Amino acid sequence: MSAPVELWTRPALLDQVLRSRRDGRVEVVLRVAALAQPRRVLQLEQVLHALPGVASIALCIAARRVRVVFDAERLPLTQLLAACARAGCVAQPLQHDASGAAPGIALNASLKRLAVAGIFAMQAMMFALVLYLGAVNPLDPTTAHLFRWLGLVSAIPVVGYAAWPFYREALAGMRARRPGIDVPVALAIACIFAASVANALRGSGEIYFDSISMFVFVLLLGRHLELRAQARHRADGDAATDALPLLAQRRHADGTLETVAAVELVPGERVHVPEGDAAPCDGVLASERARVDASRWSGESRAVGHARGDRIAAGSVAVDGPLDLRVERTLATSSVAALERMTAAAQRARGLVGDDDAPAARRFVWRVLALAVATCAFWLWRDPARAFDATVAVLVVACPCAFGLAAPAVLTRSLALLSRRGVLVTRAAAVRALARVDRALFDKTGTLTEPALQPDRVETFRGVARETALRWAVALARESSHPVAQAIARVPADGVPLAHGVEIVAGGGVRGVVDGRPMRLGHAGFAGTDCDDAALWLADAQGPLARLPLAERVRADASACIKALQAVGVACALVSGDAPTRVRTVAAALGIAGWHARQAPADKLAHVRAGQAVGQVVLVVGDGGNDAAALAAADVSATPGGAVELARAHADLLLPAGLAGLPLARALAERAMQVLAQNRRWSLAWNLGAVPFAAAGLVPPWLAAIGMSASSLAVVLNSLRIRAARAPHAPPMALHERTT
Amino acid sequence: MNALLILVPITLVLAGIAVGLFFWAVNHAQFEDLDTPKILPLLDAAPPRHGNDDAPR
Amino acid sequence: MAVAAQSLSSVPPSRAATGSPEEDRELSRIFTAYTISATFWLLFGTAVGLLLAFKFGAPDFWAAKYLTFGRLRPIHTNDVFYGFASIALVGCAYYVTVRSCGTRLYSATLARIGLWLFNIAAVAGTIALDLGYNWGDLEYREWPWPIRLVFFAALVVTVWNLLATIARRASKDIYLSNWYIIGGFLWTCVICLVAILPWYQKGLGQVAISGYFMHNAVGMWFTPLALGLFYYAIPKVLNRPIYSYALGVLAFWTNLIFYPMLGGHHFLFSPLPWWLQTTAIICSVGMLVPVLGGSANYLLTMRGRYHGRIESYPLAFLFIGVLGYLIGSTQGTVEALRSLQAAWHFTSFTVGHSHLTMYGFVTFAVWGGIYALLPLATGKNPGRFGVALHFWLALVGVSIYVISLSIGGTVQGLDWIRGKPFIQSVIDMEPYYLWRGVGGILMFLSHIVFAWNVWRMTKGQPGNAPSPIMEPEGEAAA
Ligand code: HEM
Ligand code: HEM
Repeated sequence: MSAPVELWTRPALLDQVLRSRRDGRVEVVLRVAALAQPRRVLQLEQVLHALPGVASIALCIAARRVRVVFDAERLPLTQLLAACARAGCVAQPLQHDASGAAPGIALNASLKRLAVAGIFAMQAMMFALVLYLGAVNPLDPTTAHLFRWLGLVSAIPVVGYAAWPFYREALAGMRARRPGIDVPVALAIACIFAASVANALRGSGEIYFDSISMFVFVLLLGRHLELRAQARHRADGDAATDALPLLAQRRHADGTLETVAAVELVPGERVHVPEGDAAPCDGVLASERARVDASRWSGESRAVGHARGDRIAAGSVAVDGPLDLRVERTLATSSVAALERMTAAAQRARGLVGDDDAPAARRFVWRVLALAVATCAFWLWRDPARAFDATVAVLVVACPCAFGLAAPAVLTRSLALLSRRGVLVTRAAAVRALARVDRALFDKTGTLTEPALQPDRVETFRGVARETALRWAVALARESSHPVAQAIARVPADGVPLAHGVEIVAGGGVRGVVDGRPMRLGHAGFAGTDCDDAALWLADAQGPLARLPLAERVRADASACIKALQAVGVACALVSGDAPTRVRTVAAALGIAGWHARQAPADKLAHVRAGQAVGQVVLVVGDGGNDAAALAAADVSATPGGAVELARAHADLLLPAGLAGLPLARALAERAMQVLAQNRRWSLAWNLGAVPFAAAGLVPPWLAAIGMSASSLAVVLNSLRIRAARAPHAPPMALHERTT
Repeated sequence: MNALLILVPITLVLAGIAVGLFFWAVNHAQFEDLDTPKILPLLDAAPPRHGNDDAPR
Repeated sequence: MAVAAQSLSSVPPSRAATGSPEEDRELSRIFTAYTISATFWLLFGTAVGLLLAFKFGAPDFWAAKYLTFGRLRPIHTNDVFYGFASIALVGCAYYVTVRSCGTRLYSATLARIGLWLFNIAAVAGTIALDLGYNWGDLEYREWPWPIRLVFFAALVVTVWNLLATIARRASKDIYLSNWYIIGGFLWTCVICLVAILPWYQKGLGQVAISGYFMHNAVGMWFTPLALGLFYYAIPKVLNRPIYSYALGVLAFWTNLIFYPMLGGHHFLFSPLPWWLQTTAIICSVGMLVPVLGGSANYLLTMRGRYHGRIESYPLAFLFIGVLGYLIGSTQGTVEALRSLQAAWHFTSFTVGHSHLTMYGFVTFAVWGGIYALLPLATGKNPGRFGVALHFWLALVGVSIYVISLSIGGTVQGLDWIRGKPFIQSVIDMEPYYLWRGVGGILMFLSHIVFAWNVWRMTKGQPGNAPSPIMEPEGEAAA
């Protein structure tokens, strides 16, 4: 199967994948595609644990990764890999990342703090409840005193341990002189706790152990949910980018093979991809024909035939035999790199929006602090007894926690949803622009239209029935990924026979044996007739069997896409390099009023600029051919299609699942921005509305704490309300076991 | 009051134990994958016997 | 084992290889021994229960010193608790733990010692109670303390054995059932210790502890063990994994946090401070959250299997068990509300709740577990007719029992509230007591049938019931 395991004895390669640890052991991250099946997971776990020298393993199912810490002296990597393979889980080592921190550690820590906060907040509330009930049904003073102390004891783990991250962040912020929202939070916790302790010791005055614990718990809950969503999103991204081989087999001029690291490949070289392996780079098929499975990109697991000269994207798997590629792009510029950039960008979503919000939040924090000081000063002057309560209440109430969470929560959620629905976002900020788009420029050929067969105008020769001819043509066409062949393959036909001995001839067509007859399907020259541009020909050894006329057809999802966009007020226009008649027909078919034919790339760019000049937010949809400049200038750019297009187009949105993804993305973006606005409005309203009361000393600290933590939680939960239009069609896991 | 003096500390101790257990579970990655373990009961299944006809109604 | 064994055969330390045939037989022997013991205590304990039920109609019947109501009632409750339910659940727990950990039992000897200790405690407790030695009115703790110490020793031995077994599990993850089982054991050990401590066994403190102990016995002993059994037996029988593992995990940890605080509601309207009672009531309502979550999880696992006919009797028992848990706990919550408490406290309504939960939930869960797992251990199925007969007799019997007492208990409580003479309430209860007796007879008959079924699954001639593991259905079978 994949590169022989023995390769992993070479020091240069080992350096790439093994990370040495301080305890003398090494760590490797393996990609194991089989982790999708629970049974395999359990097997792999057992096998690894049984190996001598394995210290620990950590699986991340979502990312299909296993992290193994082991003793390299006792267990060579080769043995580890061999053991995995024996367990039915072929494992591929991944290049270790520089940071090296095992994911999940942050999540685990946050889970622990959350649990401690939860359990002890519960206890504190129990004890407080007794005191509250005591107001109705008087308690004897000893009992009351006892319960104050119990409250104090239960709050200690919450304040001393669970709330730790707030202090840490606050300190870090203060050191850097850029106080974040954790500063008021930490201050508030410290003040309220200190005051409650003092009152508990004195035996009189208010205590707030329950509300402070609850406050910490709810804040932690919000952050934990947020952290989990991010981790999940990152894992999905990792799973997509890991599928690349680290090794490649370079073919020398004399035909010999040499195994090299994939990063070393340069354009022009030839690489050999054994059957079952993934292509290590973007390339042009150099062998006669090949069948590859590009399901990583299209999401559709189906092998398609390719002929010499076709483009193959890195990560596509060679099925039914090996193939050779001519390297077209180095790894760094390949479609994979683009995808990596994309996921990285999406992961920085927080940073991106954070950049917008951070200064705002920081100003906010300074104001809160100033306000707290002012309140304190005022009350010290007027009525020192109330100074403390009022100051604390202001600190808590004015703290922009909810505001800080508003944007990241929304963006994480919507990016995750979009990627699940087959829309890949390479620039998180595009989501914002997309929500405001009011003009869309579409390229025509390849974007809105596709070649199509006109079945009723099919001519046949030599007495062949039309249906029979179609069946044969479909049988051959299915074998090729060429757009024209795909157009024929889509024709509905019953009882299509299987083609044997299929061969794809570059620049010609498909050859194969159907129903026992050797046949050819391709352009006129290939099929052995005269020149004929507008049709494909089917022929056998004796001569032509059928003429299959082609026409340009509007893509099935185009009309719905345009309608949906127009319905939400996006003015759509067609900008094409094609002749006016054809552009007009397509525009009419799609109900697009504005169309421009014979547009050069510069003209397209001018359209974008013109729109932007009058304040429009412009979306450009194209495949990156002659509209690259327009795509780059647009506020949002989108490309229908898969991997090869991706590397070329540099679009903000990639739509491997077709144009249908576009309205969906737009709807989701709008929804996300609505929710974001709601979140902001909500948190601002809360802050601004409650601050005057707090400053006036009218809000007791416990109420402030509850309100404030509830408002943060509301923001996170509100973000979870963002849903995609239809339920994501995740393939059901094969969990149902049969045991006969 | 006597009862409280014993019940309340016990409750606190129990809460402490609960936390301890929870930490152990987190440290031993019991919460990292909440999908796979569900097939554990099905792994050692004995074959359903077909000796008899249908289940009784 | 065919598929599992095949697909795993290439893997050296595979699960299929963990239990050698000899170890499997050993486990099966232990499971059998526990089940047979439990069956004995069920028959004995409920024979006493039936006698008690009769005494409500005929108080003078068999009124000799050793057969008085006052002595027999604790014998009934203690024997069904510590003889029947505990031993049966522990037997199932052994099987569930060993299987779900894909390993072998740590020590068969310890398991046998544990069984002896449980039985010694139950026998000694029964004798002591009948001779009039007891610890007074401490409900469910009537056994003199040395005997309870024996029971405690049995718990310690068992939990040690189970923990050591879990420690050698084959997978990183500890299956949910084991969490419930271990959680139940550890908690119960603590509670037992608390209950034995001498220095607050008098006065008000005793009331509080008694309530605490009593509710923890049902809430932290029988409930988690039965739930753990559900989490194993239901997926096993359906041949389909639990609907949501994550939900189960969440429910487990919420339970752990909530339950200890709950004991208080058992002494509502006792002289304990009002605030403590109110607190406990609030917690009772909170308790409903994990109950609903857990039940939903089980019922959703069974989704698509309700056809208006019973496909599998083991599943039917488990299903009733889940309903018993859901309805019983909901009833408990309603009961805990103060205004209703006023009517129902101290009446037979509570006895109805006790049987709805301990019988409709725990006992049905035990039976479902035994019918689902014992044939897998021994390779012997019971008779189809026998299982069906057991199911219907028990179900009809307990329904009559619980319904009659719920109505009767309400009548009784209203009588008290209206301040009628006490004897009037007794007269009003007469028909309901009679019906309870009728239900009790059906229940007892079902236990005899159960004993016969156990015999066929263990020592006797196997019967014609189909394998407890159902054929997967719908999408899986298609
Ligand atoms: C949310 C769950 C539950 C609540 C709120 C609840 C509540 C109650 C209440 C209020 C009483 C009556 C106290 C009295 O009036 O004397 C009671 C009694 C009882 N409950 Fe529950 N219950 C719950 C679940 C269960 C479960 C699951 C079981 C069994 C496994 C159970 C077994 C019992 C028993 C045996 C009694 C009788 C106690 C006695 O003899 O005094 N309960 N419960
Ligand atoms: C044939 C079956 C049974 C009959 C006829 C029966 C009958 C009785 C009777 C007459 C009482 C006394 C009620 C009173 O004092 O008013 C009682 C109490 C009790 N029985 Fe049963 N019982 C049976 C089975 C069971 C089983 C299998 C269990 C548990 C697994 C059980 C658990 C209890 C409990 C916990 C009490 C105390 C109730 C309370 O104080 O609220 N019984 N039973």
